[in-house]
Amino acid sequence: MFRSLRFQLFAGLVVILTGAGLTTTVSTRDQMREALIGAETRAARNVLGQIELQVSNRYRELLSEKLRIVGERRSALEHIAAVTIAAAEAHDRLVTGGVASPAEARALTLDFLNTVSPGGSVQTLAMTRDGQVVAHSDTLQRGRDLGAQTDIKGRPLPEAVQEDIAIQGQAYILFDDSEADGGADAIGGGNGDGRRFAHFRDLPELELFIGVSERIDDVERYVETGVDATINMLAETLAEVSVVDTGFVFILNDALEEVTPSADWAAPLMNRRDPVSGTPIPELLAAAARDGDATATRYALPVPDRSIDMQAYVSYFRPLGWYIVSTVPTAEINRPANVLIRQQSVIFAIVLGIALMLAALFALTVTGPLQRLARYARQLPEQDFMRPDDAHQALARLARTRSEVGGLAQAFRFMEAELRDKISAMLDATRDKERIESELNIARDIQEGLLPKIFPPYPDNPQIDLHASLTPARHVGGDLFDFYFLDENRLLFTVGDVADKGVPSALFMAITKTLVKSASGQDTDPAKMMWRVNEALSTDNPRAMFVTLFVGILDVRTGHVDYVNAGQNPPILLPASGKATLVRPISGPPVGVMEGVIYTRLSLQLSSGDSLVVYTDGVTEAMDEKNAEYSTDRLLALSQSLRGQGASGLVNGVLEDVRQHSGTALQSDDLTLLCLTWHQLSLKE
Amino acid sequence: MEYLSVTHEREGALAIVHLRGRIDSATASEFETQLGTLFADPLDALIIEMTELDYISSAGLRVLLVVAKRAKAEGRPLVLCNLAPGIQEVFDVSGFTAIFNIATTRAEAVAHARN
Repeated sequence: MFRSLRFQLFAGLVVILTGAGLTTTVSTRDQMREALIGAETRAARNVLGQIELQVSNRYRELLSEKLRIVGERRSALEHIAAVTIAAAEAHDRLVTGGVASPAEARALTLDFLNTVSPGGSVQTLAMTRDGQVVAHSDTLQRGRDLGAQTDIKGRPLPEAVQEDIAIQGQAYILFDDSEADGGADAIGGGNGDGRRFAHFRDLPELELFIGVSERIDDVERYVETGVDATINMLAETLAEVSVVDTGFVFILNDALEEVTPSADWAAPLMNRRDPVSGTPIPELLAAAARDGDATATRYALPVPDRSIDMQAYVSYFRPLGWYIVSTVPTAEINRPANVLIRQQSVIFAIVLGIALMLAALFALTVTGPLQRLARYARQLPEQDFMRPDDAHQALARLARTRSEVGGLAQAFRFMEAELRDKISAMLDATRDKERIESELNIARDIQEGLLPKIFPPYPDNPQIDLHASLTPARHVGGDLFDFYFLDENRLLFTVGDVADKGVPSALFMAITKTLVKSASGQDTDPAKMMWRVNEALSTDNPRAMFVTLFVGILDVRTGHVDYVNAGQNPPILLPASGKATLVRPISGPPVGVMEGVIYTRLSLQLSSGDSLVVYTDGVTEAMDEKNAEYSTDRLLALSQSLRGQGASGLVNGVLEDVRQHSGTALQSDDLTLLCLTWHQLSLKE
Repeated sequence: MEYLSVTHEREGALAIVHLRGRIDSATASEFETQLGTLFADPLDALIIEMTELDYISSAGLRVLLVVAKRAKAEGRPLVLCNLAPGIQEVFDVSGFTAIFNIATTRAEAVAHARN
């Protein structure tokens, strides 16, 4: 299964898709987390910044308001002082006008200062150069000695006034008058802060300083009220502000007390310690502000049943001494990132699942044609190649696709068509071959029919012991033998070898045999017969087919043999006793070579019991695997040793020996042997 | 093993064919074809040198006969020369010695052909 292209394709796609997806996911996850957490962190910090800005703006407003009020108050004081000086000058004019005496003018001025009631906590006074109070709007303070009074800077009052007036023409002095300020001012409230702000002018004619003063705790209180209002407003605002989800902003003062309250659920943080560092949480937060707020401060908030990990961003507002804290559970900072990542993972899983299914589908689709092709190829041997191809629509469709599969399918079709043709041709050829074989077999039968088959041929004739055998090299052969009685005393025997072998030679063999038979009917002289046969064969012989031919005529009465040897191997004369020898003389060339040849008649004389062995060169030239010939000598020797076995014994013995010699080598030429043994009839029989 | 090599050279208008190997039924047709192409050229005479011919079967003899007949018909002498003893015997035994012009040496053959 793991080898299949389908699986490999699918697996490859799975690996690629999963790999790409995982890589993308993993590499973006961290960035996403950072981005989202960063966003939430920024949000927490932004809230802090916003609140800080609000506080800062409000404070600035209060300050400028305070300045305005202070300015106003100052103006008021200056105004009253100016009025007093105008009155003094008016009184002075009375003196110069002769209406009043200087003492009276002075008394008027002092009286003016005594009786004017500016309202609020404003007081008017006149003092001598060394601080004796000669007039005061507060009756209790008339006659007081201000020489001992110091201003805020520690300078004795008269000196301070003197100095400032000398420099600037007027003096502004801040001094603490707590001792003198009893319960007289309802507005002032008579509580701790007795500081007064005084404006002094010089009355040189009377040698007095006049001063107008006011308690400053109004202004201070005004600012305090303003701050309180701010705090209330902030408390309301901050109660509505949430950081991320349950996170909140609250404010601690320098004493680490709540200015605005923390969220209800987180109330314990004021009293608890951070488990890790052991520091009380408010201290931890204050320390955070001092360290700068580059990274969040982490702490754990112990609530009743668990411990919540928190993050805090703190900034310190110096003018009010406030620690503004934005704090939120760490989990909430991380939650969006985690949610998103979880979502992303789910989406990734779903998409991957779908992609895998598509990949499987794809693998199936791509390899589908290949499988079809494979199936088709497997079915190929089952086909009947003789029938024309009309099936395989699917293959035709496949071949039309443009891809490599299409090319493969086309190659298949081509191959199949070729196979079809070749096999068809081969089957035809085989049929032809079989037909030829069968024809050859028939021809062989016919040829065998031409040859004498019955052995021994003359069982009742004690003079003749004759045996012959012809083994063609192929289906049909070019050798021939024949024997028949010409008359009651003369036996004709013939052996021939047509040039070459096979069908052409077989045809010639049949012709030759017939010619010999016919010639033997026309002549008694074997030389004449040979001439006749040669004349017949030489004409119309374009292929120069020739036959080596031996014709012998034995007179059974006498043992005389007339013979003609036209190119045939010299027969063996095997006497009843003694050496076997070759009968060498030849009568002329083979028949069929050329016309007009006159053959020489030869003869020999047999004694009783002698044998003649006539053979073709297929015997003596039979070759073994090493191309060694059987040889005439071996034939001679063997014939001699087979003497006395009878004609058939000799023939079969030789054939067997030749077979042994040949071994595994193919028979290269037709094998023909004829053995004729003559026995003379005794006169007695 | 069947093999036959037929090479030839020209000495003027004389073609001398050199045979090597065996002429049997397997190589006979090749032999016939090769000799046939030779005859396409104008020749005065054809000499076949058989020094390295190991064997000749009746099929080979037949081809030689065809060649001889053709040569005779075209009036060109055909001389065989340098027959190995075994081949000579085949010719003798089969009576072909009387049919062909057979010379002992090449020079003799050339001389015979030139006449």
